[in-house]
Amino acid sequence: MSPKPLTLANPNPSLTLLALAPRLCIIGAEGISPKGVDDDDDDHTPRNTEVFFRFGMVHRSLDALIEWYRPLALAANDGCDEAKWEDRVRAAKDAYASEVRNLMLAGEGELSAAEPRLKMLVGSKLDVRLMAALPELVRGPTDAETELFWDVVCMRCMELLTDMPTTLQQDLALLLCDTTDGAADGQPHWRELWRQLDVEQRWGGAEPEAALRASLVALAIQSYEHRMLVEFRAYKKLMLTRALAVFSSTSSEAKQRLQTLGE
Amino acid sequence: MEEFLWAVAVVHSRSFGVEQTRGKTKVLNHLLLPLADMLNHGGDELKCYWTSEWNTSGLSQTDLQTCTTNVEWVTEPAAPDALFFVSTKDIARGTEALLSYGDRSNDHFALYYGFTPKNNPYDDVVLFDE
Repeated sequence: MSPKPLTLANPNPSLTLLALAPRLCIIGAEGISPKGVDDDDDDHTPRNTEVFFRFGMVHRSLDALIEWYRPLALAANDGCDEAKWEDRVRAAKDAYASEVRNLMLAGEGELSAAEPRLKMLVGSKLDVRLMAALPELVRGPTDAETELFWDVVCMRCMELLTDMPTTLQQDLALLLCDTTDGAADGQPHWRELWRQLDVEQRWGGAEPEAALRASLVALAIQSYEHRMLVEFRAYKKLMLTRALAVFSSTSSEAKQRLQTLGE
Repeated sequence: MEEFLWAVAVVHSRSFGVEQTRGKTKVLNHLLLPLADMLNHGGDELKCYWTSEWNTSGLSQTDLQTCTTNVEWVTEPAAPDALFFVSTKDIARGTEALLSYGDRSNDHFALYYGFTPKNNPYDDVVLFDE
């Protein structure tokens, strides 16, 4: 008679795995659990173990978010002391785990587990796990809570932009002033983006050549690989800049609070 | 070492990943196909990277322009060792045949193919990393 397996329950909200006995086990009996049944897995390679390991990685990305926002929350002077902050962290982890569980039930568990980083997609669409966890960390006065949430997202976008060595305008100027082989093919595209951003970002009708100040001459594109990296960086900045425009709140109260957080 | 790096770069940037069934087992084979590997990438593109219609709900189909892909590759059970490249639309004489390398972020394209597609709707930016 083959032994009946233990049942591995899906992760509960605190990301703890429960091994449940489907029948009474006598003392000394070995606990046996399937390690995943898959058509291409005759040897029952512990595929699930890999997925559970990834949960740990996912969790560390959440930890990065928590660590980033912690000093801002405690400095906000909105009554969030260490004890209340820990409450917020617990709520954020629960919300995050709940969202992960929803993704698993929707058949997207492996996809989300494979990408532990919290991202924003083109179109300013935020990772649903981030959307679940961050509001629990950002608890402002009720009326301003939503605005504050978006302002905090803006703050992160701004932080990432300012951490980069060049601005979006400078990168576009570098691409438009690029004279290496093949550069001209892509320049109508970058010229059009420059024109649109000149209006949206109020660059004041600046010309790329003028924007490429003497300090940037040393950064002039030297090769195809160099150009690819500048293009890559420019697209990331476009996403962040666009998100800033989309998420910017008009709430004056939230703005004041954001200024307090940023000081 | 230089030749090894060249070989790895060739396999990563030019091979086709084809899933095949052997008995009960599915295996992913990486095939190098001279000539076919010369097909350039085509795919979905944003009409415009900077458009005021975007909102927090993300992109809609109307934000995408017609896909530039005009060729796709398929397998046939009757010919398990063959890969077929078929047109997905009428292709005028002189038009470049374009094959989608996948709906991937620019990170993936830069790392594995050595270029960044223009106006890629599947790009992303990392806000929080471990």
